[in-house]
Amino acid sequence: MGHYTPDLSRPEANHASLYRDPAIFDEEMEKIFHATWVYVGHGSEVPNPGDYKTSFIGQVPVIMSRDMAGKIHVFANRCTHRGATVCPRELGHAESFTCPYHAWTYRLDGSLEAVGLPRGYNDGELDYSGLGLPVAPRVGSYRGFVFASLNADVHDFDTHIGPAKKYIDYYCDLSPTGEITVGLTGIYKHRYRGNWKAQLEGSVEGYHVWHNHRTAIDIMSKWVPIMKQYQNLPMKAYDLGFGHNIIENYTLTDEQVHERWPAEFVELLISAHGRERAMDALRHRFNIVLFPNMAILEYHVRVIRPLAADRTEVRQYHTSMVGAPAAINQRRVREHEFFYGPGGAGGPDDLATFDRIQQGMEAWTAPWVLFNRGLKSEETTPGGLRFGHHTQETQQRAPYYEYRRLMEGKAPVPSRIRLAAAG
Amino acid sequence: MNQAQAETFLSRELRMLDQRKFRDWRQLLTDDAIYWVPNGDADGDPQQHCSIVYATPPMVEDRLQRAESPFYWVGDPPIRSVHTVSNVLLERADGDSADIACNQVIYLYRENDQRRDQVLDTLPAQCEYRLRRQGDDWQIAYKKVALLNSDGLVPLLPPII
Ligand code: FES
Ligand SMILES: [Fe+2]
Repeated sequence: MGHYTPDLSRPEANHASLYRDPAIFDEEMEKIFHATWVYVGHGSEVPNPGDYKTSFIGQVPVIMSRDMAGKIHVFANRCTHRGATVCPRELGHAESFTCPYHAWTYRLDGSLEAVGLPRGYNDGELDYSGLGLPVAPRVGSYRGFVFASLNADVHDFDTHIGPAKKYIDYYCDLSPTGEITVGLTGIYKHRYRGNWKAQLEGSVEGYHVWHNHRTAIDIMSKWVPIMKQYQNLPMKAYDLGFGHNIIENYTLTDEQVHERWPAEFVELLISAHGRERAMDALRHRFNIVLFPNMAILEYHVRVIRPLAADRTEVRQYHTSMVGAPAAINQRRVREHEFFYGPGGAGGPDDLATFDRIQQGMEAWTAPWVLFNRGLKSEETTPGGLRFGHHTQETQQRAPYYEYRRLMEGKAPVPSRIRLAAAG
Repeated sequence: MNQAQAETFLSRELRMLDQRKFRDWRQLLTDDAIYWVPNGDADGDPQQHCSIVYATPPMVEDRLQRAESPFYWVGDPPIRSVHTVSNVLLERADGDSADIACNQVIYLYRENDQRRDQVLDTLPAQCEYRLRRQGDDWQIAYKKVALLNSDGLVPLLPPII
């Protein structure tokens, strides 16, 4: 077992050790998950002061809480005394967090408020100000999506999220109020015996759809007829910089928008957002990956949690459109559960395949994982974004430009990524 | 319907699943049947909250069509099951319909080819049925399978559990 070296990842291929080697996995936690922005949750999960959610930054257990002033904080769920978690639930409400062991009590911003039996400490043995729960030094959010970084020197959040904003806007604007809820209408929880990057690549995988999801497409095309033609649609996938990328699944014409959505809903969105914004939201269907651990798909927010080189948790947080007619949200429930979840017609085939990928990668005689499809015909937008057809592999190559930058510890921002962020 | 009939019905129904005779199982459903496997809160509203499965007979047909396809990767090789049923409680019964509550333990196993180390999945569930008389037979108008771990990690499932 070795360490990451630059010859292990090239635009057209990754070496299988990136998916198998425990030492490289540990390095990824440190150089990627502890170094850049990581998705931790959505504001709708903690709507009121005192609400909290537990999550992870890499393998660090964290709490995302909303304080009395409404501000969101992210800190480690790790008592600074002797290490117990101070919060045992996934979602909840608290005035403070009290450790079960010796009653150290922390405020909603993570600071230490009190300890059990304080008189047993002599002068100088207990420094309240230095013993708060370890706080993530940087927190950023866009339209309710909250990201945090354990790295105080991480690049600015606005630059990080910049090129993705347009798509997040399309997504949230399917709600007449522009607000969505995440996970409150269902969370599917999975694990597979494979590397986390298989799901990162697989969340924007246009090449497999016609074959791997053939059974689902046959059924789904009843409500989205153009899905039958997925591999022939003139759709693109883009590298958005910082490892982020987006695949267009399909884009509806005005006529198709009206076939897909009831007229009242279309009118409701137009009166809420104006025609252009409303039609953008109704028209564009895409999957977007926000490197390294999150994706937004038509019906859910996906969170990828690496557990080990060959073990990954994936959660699919169903999204609901605030202010949309009940029938629209109900339809989004049925369509989501049709494809996803442990009994769905699509998602399980992906997970079964990731398991097989990990098995196959034991073959050291063929160590390369290929991403060269469409490399030669890849183009660049005037703003500097790489793009190709959605069944090519621009979107699989995209995360690894950032991966290499972080893993090689150089962290200079390549000029085209800076361009991308700006435009 | 009496206790013995209820138990016989359930044993026969679950045997169909264990023998993967899903088309026979499909024939047990009334036209207005609901087959429900909740996700998360088993008492939640399935119109507002995603389920693991929430299916009418046409949606069951879709599931079976998928499961019969050579492109059904989850079922390649197939997921095998054993269902045991216990605590059968005939909650309400008259000549034409019956409500049954029972516990089931569903064991799932699928060989995972090259790894050769797949562990058996054990899924305890609280189940509810509403049966309706159809001539000499009984049919399922409602079946709910509330997995004990419906809010946790659930393995990939066969088309009907
Ligand atoms: S470990 Fe938390 S108070 Fe002692
Ligand atoms: Fe897929």
